[in-house]
Amino acid sequence: MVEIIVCFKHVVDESELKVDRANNKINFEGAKTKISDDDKNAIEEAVRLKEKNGGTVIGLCLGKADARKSVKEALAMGCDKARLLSDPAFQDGDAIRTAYVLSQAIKRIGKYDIIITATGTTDVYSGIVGPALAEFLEIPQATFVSKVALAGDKVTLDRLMEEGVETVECDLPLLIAVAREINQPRFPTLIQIMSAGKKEVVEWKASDLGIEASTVGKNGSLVQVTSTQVPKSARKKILFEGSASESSERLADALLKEGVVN
Amino acid sequence: MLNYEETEDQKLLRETIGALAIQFGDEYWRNKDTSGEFPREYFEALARDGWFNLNVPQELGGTGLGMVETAIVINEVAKKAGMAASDILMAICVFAIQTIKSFAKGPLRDRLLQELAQGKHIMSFCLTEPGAGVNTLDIATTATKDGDGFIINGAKIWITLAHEATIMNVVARTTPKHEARKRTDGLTIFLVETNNLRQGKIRKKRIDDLSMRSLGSNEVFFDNVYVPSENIIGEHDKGWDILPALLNAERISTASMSVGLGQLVLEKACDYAKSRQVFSRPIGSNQAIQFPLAKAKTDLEGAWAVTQRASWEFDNGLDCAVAANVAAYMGARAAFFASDRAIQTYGGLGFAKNSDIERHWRDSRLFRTGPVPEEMALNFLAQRMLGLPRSY
Ligand SMILES: Cc1cc2nc3c(=O)[nH]c(=O)nc-3n(C[C@H](O)[C@H](O)[C@H](O)COP(=O)(O)OP(=O)(O)OC[C@H]3O[C@@H](n4cnc5c(N)ncnc54)[C@H](O)[C@@H]3O)c2cc1C
Repeated sequence: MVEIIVCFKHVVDESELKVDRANNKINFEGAKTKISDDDKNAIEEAVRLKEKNGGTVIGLCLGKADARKSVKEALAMGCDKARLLSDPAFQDGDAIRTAYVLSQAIKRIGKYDIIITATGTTDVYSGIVGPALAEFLEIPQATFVSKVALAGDKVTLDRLMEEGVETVECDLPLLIAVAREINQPRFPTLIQIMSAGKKEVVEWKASDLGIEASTVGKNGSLVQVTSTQVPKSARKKILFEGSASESSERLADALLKEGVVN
Repeated sequence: MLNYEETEDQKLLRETIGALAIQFGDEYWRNKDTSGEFPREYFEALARDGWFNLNVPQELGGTGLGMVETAIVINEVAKKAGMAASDILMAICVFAIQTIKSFAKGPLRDRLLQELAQGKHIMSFCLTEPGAGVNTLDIATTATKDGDGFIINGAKIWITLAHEATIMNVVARTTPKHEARKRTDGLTIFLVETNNLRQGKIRKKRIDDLSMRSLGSNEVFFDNVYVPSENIIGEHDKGWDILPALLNAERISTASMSVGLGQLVLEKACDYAKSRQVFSRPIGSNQAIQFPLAKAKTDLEGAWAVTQRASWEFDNGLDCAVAANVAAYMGARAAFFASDRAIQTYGGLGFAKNSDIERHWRDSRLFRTGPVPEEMALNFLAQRMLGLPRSY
């Protein structure tokens, strides 16, 4: 039996974002939202561990009220219950403040063996939340995890390194930040989607977690995001004129020179 | 209070089925369209993830959702993967499950619903006949009493998926027209399990046709096919009375599909109009290109609003015939107009198989002719809504 808490973020779907070319700003109006891609790997791994070893998975999400849709999806994917941390005070916090709020919620949940997060999220990819959360909870952590094997109180993990795989062993409890390669998240079945609404979702505000509002969110953060801009990507245009055989040769040379092909 | 906002559950249904649908991309459907092969991998993925449970009653293990959700799911699949992908959902969830749960009886009903939910059946609806056309009362397929069952003889045409079907709903005449007490009496609907024939033969001949080629149309011949009496859908001689319920569900489904397909091609057309440069500017900056695309958008929005209304009426037990016919009519025209404008926007490229626009254009044409030709939808509305003389 293993008690797992999996953290996931409700983000805007970057593949659907429109850029306002006049000022290179992202237009968030009416943007679609989703569970951050890699967080789905985290949820999938939590559910697989539960399916193999028994136990429960609690989904934990810090987000606005519209994150309820993502919470429901996580429940459909197999989380047994969920906690949604939703308070205007939490908004626009930096990664450390997010980790702090999550740690307070986890302390309130109390019992756990494994905390699972992704290594980063598809919107900002700071890679800080998982490790910082482990620090707040004072438990060991492993990042870039591509394989988890649980045996009794010990867990063996593969960590994906730049060149190769490192295998580590650790006692419970611990925090695992998974790599995208770890699994292929499942599609919930129709029955799972429709029964997700019957599972327990509790919303917690700052006061429920003993958090002083001024210490979190934008006000409590050391990092302030002042603006978000899209990099200008000017296309290079070269026109080759002449016969087909001549210009194709010059095209091939140019592609080689630019490193487009090698 | 009116509420057009989809619920969290409905949004999640959309997202999940959409994510499944995009696993089967343009190339998959293009190949199936060219080969005329049944998209079995896709069908099995739908079954695996339980999508055929959609409107199966909860007491039989389904999710018991209504027409509103069925329309949403069908619409989203058409939007993401085109018409053939969504037509399969209509065949199973609407032709089969909706009909069987409403009108079949006893153990047959429960067994088939459970098997359908698991993806064990493919269904065909056998109504159209070469001699009768849209005048259903003229159909010549007969079912004659024989012991504890009936013997079916006759020919049907344009039957989608008949070559794959394990169950068929067959409309047949059980009392000759001149002997019927009422003009509309004498038709009976039979559920035929094709793998399980006690007697007789069903022959099928594939028709090489224009639309949804991966699903395929067929001529179907029933030669002395025995069906037990318990396989009657609805009541003996009263098939006509339940046809509207079946056809309204079908109209709502085709409308949902049309709107989805229209949204798909419109999005493709707009993307292309923004990126294709002629005269050193995007072709989409010309109102001659822009306005028809905007008109396609208004048509699709209107069609979807009426579809929502029709499915809401259906689920609330109200008479949805008018809204269902309006939705099917508007949807079919909107989808065809959008596809046609997509071809125009794409220029020559729209005719290339690998642009997929020509396939969507061919598919979008279907619902203007079948299941209900637009003339028949207008006939119905003229008589029913405007009090004009009946012309059918
Ligand atoms: C690809 C495809 C798939 C199909 N799948 C199925 C299926 O699975 N099951 C099934 O049962 N059928 C199916 N059909 C048949 C379809 O429903 C019919 O083709 C359609 O209903 C028209 O019938 P018909 O072809 O006999 O045309 P006809 O009845 O011959 O009509 C020809 C034309 O005359 C018009 N017309 C006739 N009478 C009137 C009138 N009184 N006033 C004004 N206009 C009139 C019609 O609207 C039509 O435009 C399919 C057809 C196609 C093309």
